[in-house]
Order: sequence, then structure tokens, then C-alpha cells
Amino acid sequence: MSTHRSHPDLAADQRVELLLAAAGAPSEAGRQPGEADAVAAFRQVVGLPGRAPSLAPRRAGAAAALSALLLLGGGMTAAAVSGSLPAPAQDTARSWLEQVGVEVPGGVGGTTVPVGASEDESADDHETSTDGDAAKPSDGAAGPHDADRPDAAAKGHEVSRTARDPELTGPDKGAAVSELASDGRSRAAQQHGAGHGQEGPDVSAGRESSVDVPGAQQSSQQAPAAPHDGGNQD
Amino acid sequence: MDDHDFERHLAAAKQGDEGAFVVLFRSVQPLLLRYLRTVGGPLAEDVAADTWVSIVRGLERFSGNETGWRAWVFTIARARLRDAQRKAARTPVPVDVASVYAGVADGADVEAMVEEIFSTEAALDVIAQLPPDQAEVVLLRHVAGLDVAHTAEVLGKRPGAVRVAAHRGLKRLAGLMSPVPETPESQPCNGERHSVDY
Repeated sequence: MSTHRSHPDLAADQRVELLLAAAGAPSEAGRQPGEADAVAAFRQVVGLPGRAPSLAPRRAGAAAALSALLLLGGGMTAAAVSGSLPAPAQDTARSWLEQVGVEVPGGVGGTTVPVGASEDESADDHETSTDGDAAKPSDGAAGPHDADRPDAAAKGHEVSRTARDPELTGPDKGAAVSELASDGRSRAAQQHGAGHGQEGPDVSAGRESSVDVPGAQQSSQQAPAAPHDGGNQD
Repeated sequence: MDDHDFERHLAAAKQGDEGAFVVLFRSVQPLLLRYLRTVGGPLAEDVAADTWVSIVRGLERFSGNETGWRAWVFTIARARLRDAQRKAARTPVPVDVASVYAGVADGADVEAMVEEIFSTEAALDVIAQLPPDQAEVVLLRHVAGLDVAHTAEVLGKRPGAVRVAAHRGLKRLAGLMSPVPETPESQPCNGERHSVDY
């Protein structure tokens, strides 16, 4: 190839073409400058060697963690709704779950025992807004661990009987069951007493099927007496 | 490398095939270095390394043909170069101004320059004497091999502006290589003179 000096008549355009051809000339094949660094970056990003694509496992891990969290939350909710938690935990769960509209036995309101359930011993006749499942907490009071303890089993039966007591209705029954289940530690019974005068154990007065929580809180004086009433039923 | 080969290598590289990635790297790295050395001077190697780090991180998201690939690579490189230049501007390095501009308008140097015209390095040094916008267009169009549309995309300009800059750049190159050289109207694009042995 010639140069400009050996071809003085070379047109300006031709000189530019030669210059551009030289600037864009193919480079030598093979390893290029900076290749080691680029390959190292590539290995780091794709996880070589060992091939661990970065994004997929992270997504799977996040999904697994979320599933576990939902499972745990669901289990805790189910346990709270069924009344299987210890009294303090049950109260806490109730306060949380009520905020999202889930009705949970125990605690201040004690609204879990359906009023209708007290009117007839037959479970088929339960027609309250809380339906027949509300009786399950007391039935399930003797869980797998409690069944190993005679005291706990007996207590469970007693709570169950109280829940089915036709003499108790509405919030009074809830407070009574809560009181009995928590061995007197329930806040429901205490508030029940605080919000009510000394009306005596005439629990039949509470048969007007008031299942709303505010009403239950205001007419809960009978709670301390309720366990006794339940016991009298035997 | 035709489009089919490119797509095959790209897909394999996305799957972690190192050999395929090396093929892609070698297809563009020489051109990338020429571009960066011409418009970025001493920053070229570091900027190229940063560019490839960005490329491998975004490789999974890239899709397109080989021309699109080159345009993508040069777009990243240009952004990394701007970052490096801003950083370098905050930490100025003393420059011997007299040596930077010595010989640019010297007629004897132009003759010597044309003698060296068939050296790629020398050709790039001549291009480096263009105003920065013209030098970039000439490099992307004639060294990187991008069409006007992709060049405009890389530079963030309209295709018409790219055509104008290319025309002016080539005209100025012709003047630089003429036996009676024109007086450069502007500084070298990267602010300093490269190591051309005239």
C-alpha cells in the first residue's frame, strides 16, 4: 500500500478513506487487552465456577420465607380462633386479630360463646352470628399437651360445660368461660366486674342475645360468679 | 460473526457460558479501546474495565442483534467515560501545556503524519485532533461500524446532527492531512496530545 507522499495526487477524499480504514482495521485475533478483568467480572456475576445464577435463588428464598411466615401466621391465627393458646397469649392474639375483623375467643369481650348455644344443649340449634364453631374453643381446651395432664383435661371439660350452660348467655358466658379457662387471670372477668354493679348471679337476665363486644364489656359483672354457676349445673 | 452466531453466543453467555462471553468480548473490545483511547486518553483502560463490569451485570437484560450489541456497549462506555472524566476533573493532574499543543499545526508534522497513515494508532491520533463531538461521530461511524441511527442513539443526538457532525469531521480530517494543513480551530478532543511519533 502506498502513502500520500508517494502519491501526491491522491485526492483528499481518498486520504480520508485510507485514514478511516486504518483506524478501523481489524485487530489481531486472540486474547485482547482487559480480557482477564472482563472474564473475572463475568465469573463473579454469573457465579462461575459453580454456576449459581444470582437472581433465581434469591427469589425462591424470598418466596419460601414468605410462605413460612404466612404458614406461621395462619397457624397462630387458627390456634387463637380455636382458643388453644394460653390465656395471656390468647388475649394478645385477640387484641391483634380483632383489628382485622377476626373474632377470637377469650379476652375482654368474651364474645365467642354464642348466645343461642346456651338456649339449647343441642349443637344443631346454634343460630347466632358466631355460629356453632364458637363452642369449639372450650371443647378444644384440652389440647394434645393438656391431655397428658389430668388437671388440664378436667379443666377443659369444665370449660366446655360452662360454655354449654343454658343459664349463661352472651358476654356473661364469655367472661365466665374466659375466667375459668385462665384461672382468674383473664382481664375479661375483671373488666366484667368493674363495669357492672353487684347484680348477683341472676344470669338469666342476660339472655337478650347481645353478642356485640361493647355491650359485652359493659355487662360483665357476672363473670366471677359464672364459673360457680357453671359448676352448679353439674 | 453473523446475526445467527451472535444470537447463539449471546444466549449462551446469558446462561453462563464463559467461552461465548469471550467471543462477544473479543468482537467489540478492540474497537472499544480505540474509541476510548481516542476520546478518553489515559482513562481508556480503566473506563473499559468499568464498562465490562456494567455489561456483565446487565447482560441478562440485553436483547438485540450485533449492531445493537455494539451500540449498547458504546453507550455504556460513553457513560462510564463521562463518569471518569468528571472524577478526573475533580482531581486535576498537572499537564505540560506546551507539549500538548506542540506540532499540531506544523506542516512538516503533517507530512510525517501522512507517512504514518497506515498505522491504526496514527490514524486514531489524527482523529483525536478533531473537536470532541466530531471525533466521537467519526469513531462510532467508521471505527465501531455503527449506522447513523445507532450512533445517534449512543450520543443522544438526532440523526441529522450526527450526519452534520460526521460531514464536518471528515472535511476537517481531509484538511489535517493536506500538504498545506489548516490551522486547527479547536483543541484536541481529549485535551491532550497522544504519543504520535512524527
